[in-house]
Amino acid sequence: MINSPFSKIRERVYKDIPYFYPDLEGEEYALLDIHCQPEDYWEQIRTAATEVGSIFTKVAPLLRTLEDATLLQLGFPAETLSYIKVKSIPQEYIIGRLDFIVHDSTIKLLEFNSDTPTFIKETFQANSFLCNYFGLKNPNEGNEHLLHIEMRKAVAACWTKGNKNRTPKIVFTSHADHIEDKWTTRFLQEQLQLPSEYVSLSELKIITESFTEDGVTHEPGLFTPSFERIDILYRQTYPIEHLVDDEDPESGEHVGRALMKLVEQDQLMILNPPSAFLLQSKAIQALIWGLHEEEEFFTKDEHDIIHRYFLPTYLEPDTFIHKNQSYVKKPCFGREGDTVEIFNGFGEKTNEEPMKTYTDSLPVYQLYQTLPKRTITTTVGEKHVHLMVGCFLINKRASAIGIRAGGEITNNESYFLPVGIQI
Amino acid sequence: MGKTKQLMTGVVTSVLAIGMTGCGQDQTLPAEPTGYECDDWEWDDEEGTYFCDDQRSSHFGSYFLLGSLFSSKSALRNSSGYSKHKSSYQSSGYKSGIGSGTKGGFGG
Repeated sequence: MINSPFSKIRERVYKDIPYFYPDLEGEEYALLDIHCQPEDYWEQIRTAATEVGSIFTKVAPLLRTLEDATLLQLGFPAETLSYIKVKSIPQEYIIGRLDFIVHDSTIKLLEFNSDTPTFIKETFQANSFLCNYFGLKNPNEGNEHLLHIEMRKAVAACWTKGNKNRTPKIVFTSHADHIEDKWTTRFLQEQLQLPSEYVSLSELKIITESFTEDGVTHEPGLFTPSFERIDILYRQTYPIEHLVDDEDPESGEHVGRALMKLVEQDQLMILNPPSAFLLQSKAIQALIWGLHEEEEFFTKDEHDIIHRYFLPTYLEPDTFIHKNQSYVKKPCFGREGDTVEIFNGFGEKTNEEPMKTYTDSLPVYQLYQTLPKRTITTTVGEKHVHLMVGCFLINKRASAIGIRAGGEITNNESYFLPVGIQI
Repeated sequence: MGKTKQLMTGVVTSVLAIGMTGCGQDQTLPAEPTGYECDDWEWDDEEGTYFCDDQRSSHFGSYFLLGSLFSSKSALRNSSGYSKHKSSYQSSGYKSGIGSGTKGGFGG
């Protein structure tokens, strides 16, 4: 980054935000720039988010009735099948984020990150600082309170289910050496405003099977480093599809799967709840589009919502090639653009993300739509970028909005572009 | 048969079997507290908790949160006496390795 007056102003503005990460891995991440639109522009995105969210909420109970063979066809790892059928609390998810392509009044859903969305601290907290700097009204004003209320409700629902006559031990966890994960998690911990503890993932202890030593029996459970039994575990940033592969370094035991078993047996409550992972597979969009085409399950109004906001999505590219339409191939459990590829209507690859972490994940094929573009100001000058709009759903209620600005495929190197209200 | 067609065969079978055409599940507030003499629990959206709004109850005005009852809103806010159920026991029965599969940064 160039040590210009602009860079110094940027540094000063972002320095005021507690525990923020304007740069990630030595690269500029948060922009000293803002995407300004009239209030009704942001409101129409929230309307879209609410309506799209209602479709996911409707299919969740259906998903829990599906045969295992069908769930496997949706790309869920076999080790997660009993976990995803657990309905631990009334809420399907607490914090989810919908990613949209927005061209004026045309809004199309790219995906729903229902289980482990980040971009929280940026939109719920940092955005207000940038609006102050630019002298604009913040479209996300007041949304921290909604986060607080819904997190409280979720914890209360967890503990009601636990039905225990004492106060719970609440632990927030993430990888402590990953700054974005850590400060996002600590931010959420602050929002809850209840006694809780932050413990890094690597410090968590687990008893997988009960054992007796010196006449004392120890039951299975998850524990802090000082051996306090954890009742509610809040893990916003660690994906379940990675948890299933976690192993104890000495015994090689699958401790992640053991943790999921604790959840299934009500020995541990987890947030986001298991149902959030059930909605995380991008193949759910293929299921929704399939039910839409078959004219099953949904009401007329719901079919209208799907028609308006969803993109045709399938488990194979045949329909797009048949219609000579460009399409995107993406892994059903991919993140940050990793392993995403774009094809033209002849099935020829036109662009791809160099990162290929998720080649083992079931691919879904979605109609390609271009992202809108604009020019942004960075510390090294102006750049032409694509914009993807993220809108949070906090227990079904549309909430904070933010923009990722980057390449044709939005990836880990994309910028955080704050948003403001044009007066 | 294509993968999508195969998937939808299984899904439609489930739809027909359970006859699901109704609305999505409605998410309500957490269940009201039990075990206290109070006939009217109200949800305080500001605090994200229930309080007793039964004027005949000795708990009138008390706030319930996660297994504890606080005599007032200020008592709730100032509370710090959350129980610890700590064991100082250390044994090889405890395992670790959660989060070992990846180094973080995988939230989307």
